[in-house]
Amino acid sequence: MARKLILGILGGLCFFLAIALSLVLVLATHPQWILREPLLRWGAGQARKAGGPRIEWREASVMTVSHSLLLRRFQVVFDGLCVELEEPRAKGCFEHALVSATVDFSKLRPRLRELGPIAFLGGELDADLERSRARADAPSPSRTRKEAEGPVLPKWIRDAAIPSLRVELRRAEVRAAGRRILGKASAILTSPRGEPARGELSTEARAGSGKTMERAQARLNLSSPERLTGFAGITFSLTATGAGAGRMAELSSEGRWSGSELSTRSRFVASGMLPGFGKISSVDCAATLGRKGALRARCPVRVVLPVPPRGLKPFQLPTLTGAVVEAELASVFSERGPKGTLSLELEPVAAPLFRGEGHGRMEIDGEPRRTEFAVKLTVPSFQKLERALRGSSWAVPAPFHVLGGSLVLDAHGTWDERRKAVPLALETWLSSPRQRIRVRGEGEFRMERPHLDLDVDLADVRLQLPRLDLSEPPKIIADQRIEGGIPSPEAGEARKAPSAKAKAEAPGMTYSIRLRTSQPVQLSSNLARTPIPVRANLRIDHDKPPSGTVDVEAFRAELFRREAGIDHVRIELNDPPKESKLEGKVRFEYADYLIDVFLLGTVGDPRVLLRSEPPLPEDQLVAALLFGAPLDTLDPDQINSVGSARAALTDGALSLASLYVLSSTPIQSISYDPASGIVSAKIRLAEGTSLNLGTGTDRYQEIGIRKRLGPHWTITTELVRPAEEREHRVSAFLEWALRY
Amino acid sequence: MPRRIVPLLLLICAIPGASQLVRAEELICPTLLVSGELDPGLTDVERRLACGDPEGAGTGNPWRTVPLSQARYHLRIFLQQRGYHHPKITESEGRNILEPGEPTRVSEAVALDAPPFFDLSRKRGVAGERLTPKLLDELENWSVSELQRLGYPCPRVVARANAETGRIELQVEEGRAAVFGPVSEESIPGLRDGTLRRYDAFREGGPFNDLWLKVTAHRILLDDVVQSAHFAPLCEEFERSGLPAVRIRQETVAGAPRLLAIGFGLNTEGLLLLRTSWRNGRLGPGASSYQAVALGSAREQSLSLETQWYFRDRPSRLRFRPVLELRHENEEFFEQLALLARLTPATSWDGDWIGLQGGLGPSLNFYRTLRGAGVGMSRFLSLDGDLRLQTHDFEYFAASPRSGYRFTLRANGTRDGFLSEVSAARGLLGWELLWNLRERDPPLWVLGIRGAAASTLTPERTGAGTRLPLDYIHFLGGSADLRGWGRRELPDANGALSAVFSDVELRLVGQLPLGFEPFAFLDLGAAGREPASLDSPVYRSPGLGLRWSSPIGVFRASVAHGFPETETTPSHFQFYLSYGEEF
Repeated sequence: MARKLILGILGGLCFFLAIALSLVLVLATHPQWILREPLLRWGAGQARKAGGPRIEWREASVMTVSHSLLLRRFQVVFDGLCVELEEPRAKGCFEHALVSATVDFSKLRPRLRELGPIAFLGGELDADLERSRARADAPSPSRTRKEAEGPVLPKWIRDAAIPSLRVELRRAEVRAAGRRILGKASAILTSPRGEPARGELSTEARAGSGKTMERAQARLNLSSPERLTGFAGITFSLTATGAGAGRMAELSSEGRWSGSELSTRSRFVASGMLPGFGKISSVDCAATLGRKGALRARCPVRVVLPVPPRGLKPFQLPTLTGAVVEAELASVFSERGPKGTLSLELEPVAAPLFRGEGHGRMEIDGEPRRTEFAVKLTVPSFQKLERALRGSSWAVPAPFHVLGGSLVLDAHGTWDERRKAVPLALETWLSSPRQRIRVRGEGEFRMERPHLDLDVDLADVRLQLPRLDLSEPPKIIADQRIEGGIPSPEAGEARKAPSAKAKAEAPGMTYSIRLRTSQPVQLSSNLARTPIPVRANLRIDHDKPPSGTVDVEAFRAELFRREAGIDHVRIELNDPPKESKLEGKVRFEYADYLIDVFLLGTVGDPRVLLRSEPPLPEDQLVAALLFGAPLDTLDPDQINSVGSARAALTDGALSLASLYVLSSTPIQSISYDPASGIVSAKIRLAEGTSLNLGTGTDRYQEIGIRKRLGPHWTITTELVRPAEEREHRVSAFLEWALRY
Repeated sequence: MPRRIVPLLLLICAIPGASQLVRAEELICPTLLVSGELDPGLTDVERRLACGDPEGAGTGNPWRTVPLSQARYHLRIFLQQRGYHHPKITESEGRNILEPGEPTRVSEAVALDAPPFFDLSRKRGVAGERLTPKLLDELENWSVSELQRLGYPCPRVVARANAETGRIELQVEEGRAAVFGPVSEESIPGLRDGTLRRYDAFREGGPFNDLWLKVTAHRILLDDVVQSAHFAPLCEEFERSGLPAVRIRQETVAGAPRLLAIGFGLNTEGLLLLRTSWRNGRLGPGASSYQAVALGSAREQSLSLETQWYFRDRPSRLRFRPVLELRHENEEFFEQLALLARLTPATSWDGDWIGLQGGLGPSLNFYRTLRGAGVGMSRFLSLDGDLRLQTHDFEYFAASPRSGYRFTLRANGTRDGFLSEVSAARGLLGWELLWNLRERDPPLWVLGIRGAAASTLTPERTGAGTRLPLDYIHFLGGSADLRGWGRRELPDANGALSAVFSDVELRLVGQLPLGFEPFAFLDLGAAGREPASLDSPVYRSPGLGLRWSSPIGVFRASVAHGFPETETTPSHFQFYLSYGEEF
């Protein structure tokens, strides 16, 4: 029974093998019986189902030619062949197509001996990459890493001879990046047996019209010393040009394709590719693309820098720079992207006024992983820079123009891909006999939406203020209430600050700067005996007024004609600046008492609070401060001034500057009109000099006038009305008066 | 005869000079050439910022030179201050060449969102003036003052201007109109709280007007109660509270109450004066005052003692005003020794825009005529009354009259046998009315009418042997009434028992340089030798004059012709130069 069963199985197998062998023999001897158009249509349908392109034709015929029993040549001729891809969305149709292949069936595994002649003629291509890109942007299932061979041909085709290839694309239309590109292309490759192969590929494309017309041409010449087998051993030269819309590019490349490695040496020149920049060129850009997508490239590049605006001419900026780009990448055709390093070495820039150097290195693993760079810009001689800028609209203003030393702007570190930020550092070493500016800054520059984020430390700043005269304080800021006067400024001159809203809407660079002083800034002025120490802790943003605090630290100064100790003055900046909070304390030491002057309120509305130890009435304190004497000993004008000053201080009618002027100048008299807020002070700098500390005019005129000549001495005019009402009698007296 | 006031002119202070005008082409410094007129020129500090400061102290002065571009920046601002908004500044051969161009003149000024009765066109000196930040300040302040005058205590005004068109816009936020609320005052040592309320030129609940606050402060200072007084509305509280009344803050500096003064001087009659005075302006909790004045000149010597006694034990306007005066006069036609004693209860009242003050009390006067008519001793006990009604704006603008009015009524009565040697009643009604024509500010034309009608009812007659004291006899002529005649020239040396005059004067303000103001006038008057009657002729004095408001007071010069000629008084031109007088 078992034997029967075994014999039955063996018999079945033999029958099956016999049938299969018969089929193979039939296929080998009479393949035309099977390889017919229905089979092709079935195969095209199966390819479509497997996600391949849609392949259709109007008519097809298959011919089989037997060179020998086991060497067959198949030739398929299509009429009206169309291939349509879903992704990218493209459709190409050819009037006629011929595909020939010679297959060797002598081995168990059929081998392609010859591929060709191949001809695709009368072709038209229509591709819409816009829609394709939209789809590509949609989330897709996660891809697993799949190593691709890259340009390496499949093994089954690698050894096949290619006798001739001809492709004619008489019309191509591609829509991409919002543009419509029209073109045509043709390729001819002949590789007769026993002769060198020759090939030529030429393309033409154009986009736009009129002045915006862009044209591109490319011609690829291929050659091989031997008959072409599997496209291996090809040397080629490529020339390509493109121009239009202010852009131009020329590429000339030579290379060789060994079948497993593509090596090229190229030269190119391009202009108009980067806004503002001039030509970008390279004369020897070498690249090798080998197995498994291994790419090595070294490309020295020369870049003609943007022509600086006319106003920047004094900076003598360089016009040309160079860099070497090197790449060492693997798996460039991997679905996950290449892996390796990309580096850039900037040639040192040695402009007359500054030096620059830098390099960068990017590690890539499918996407940029880590980017290190270092760029350094140095102004070695600030005085040289100042001399070069002198006379221009960029002239360094006084008092900075006498400084000497250097400036360094350094950007180095690791590129933060997540935040797309570049670390920055800034350092100045500037000094002159009376001044010094040591500033250190650290921060970053974000590229995505250009933003500068910087911490600046005024480490050691000493500045000299101009010699001022309290009797005629100059205006240094234009009155913004008057529009249309001071013209749109040259750089460095008065600029009308844009509103915060306008700044916020501006698409340009944004910034956020935090400014602090590790050592107080020392401001020297002829109005103060010793330098005024000022600390700042500020935040300056592009879209809002500065915030933070400015602290005047303790120092001694002569105020109200005696030495006073400024304990502190703090200003907390607010928006608007007049609302900035003010807080300060000044101490005056008298023989019998101490007077503390507290500054409160806001910058626009300063309030003064007077306190003393032991406590004294406020009018006594004002008298002591203004005139250095008890109230009882003052003459009437001085007492009136005390009252005016007190009322003005209470009302905040005196600005900070006015308070300083009052405290720094011998006061002759003060008058104050509470309703209009007008304060007028006569100071003793020049006899009869009147300084209007408020604004406007006073309409009130007193009846009878008392003009003070000095302590206790006045000229008084009096209108005397005797009993007879109609009579006037006016007397003028030079009087010595004592109030007690 | 012109009054000899020339010596007074020597007391006038010099007016501080302005920066020098730059004309044509001037090399200000090696790096700045001004081509064209620049008025006023640069100040010293401005020059330092535009040219550098080579004289700055020490070596290494960083401001020794200023870069030309920075200098241009400064210059544009300096020129903006002067109204030059389109200067041309070019750089040539290492120097800035400044062409100031023409200053921008104001084409118009408009107020936006202002209340309907706020009239910016009242403000003079705007259209045609240089467009400068100072002018904007002035307009802002004037508008604030004007709104405060109109009843808005806390207005805000912001000016904007266009340098191309010369147009100024004032954005007005008048805030709420208010009435006067209570006065928040700080205590004055030694004084009863509320004492100063007797000087108020406003009443609680009356419409707010900041001028009345100034009038109040001025009254306080004039009475020497305190040395400094300021009033201001409490705006923050007013805006927060939403109440219709704004509280007023009063700030004072009391100072020492006693004042001793010794001095010498001149008066408008050309006399050298010596004066010593002692005054205590704060006696008791009611701030009564006491004053003693000794005055001596070649013609007159006097000693007067005067008290303002606020006798009530609460703040009050009612007071006693006792006066004792001893006077010796040695005039051309007479020499007299007089002892005058008065005790006058007096009070005052103030409404929203007008004030009234008056007093009524006995006066005992002893006269001893040493030379001239009526040699001998005479005495009079009289009842003196006076009443004065005046608007606050008349009081406010007293030193520069422009609006308001004042009426004065004085009456004296004495009866023979009642400590008097003659029966007489004297009445005087005076008036002064002023109009600021077209209500400009400052005024352009000021029209004034002043006059008085006075008569003495008595059986006595003027002339030789009259027992009437000089105060009861009326004269015309002089700068105070008929300016075409000499002082007290009419009707004759004996005077009259009745007199009436009325003057009309039109003054042009602010059109001549240096503050000179021309005026034209016509004075009319008549006198009567009988009580309450007037005789022919009607005296007329047409004339012209010039007023100058100097730093030490007002000088007025006038020339007029008196008509008609009478038997005793020939018609003639009369010139007056007066000091301190106002129409």
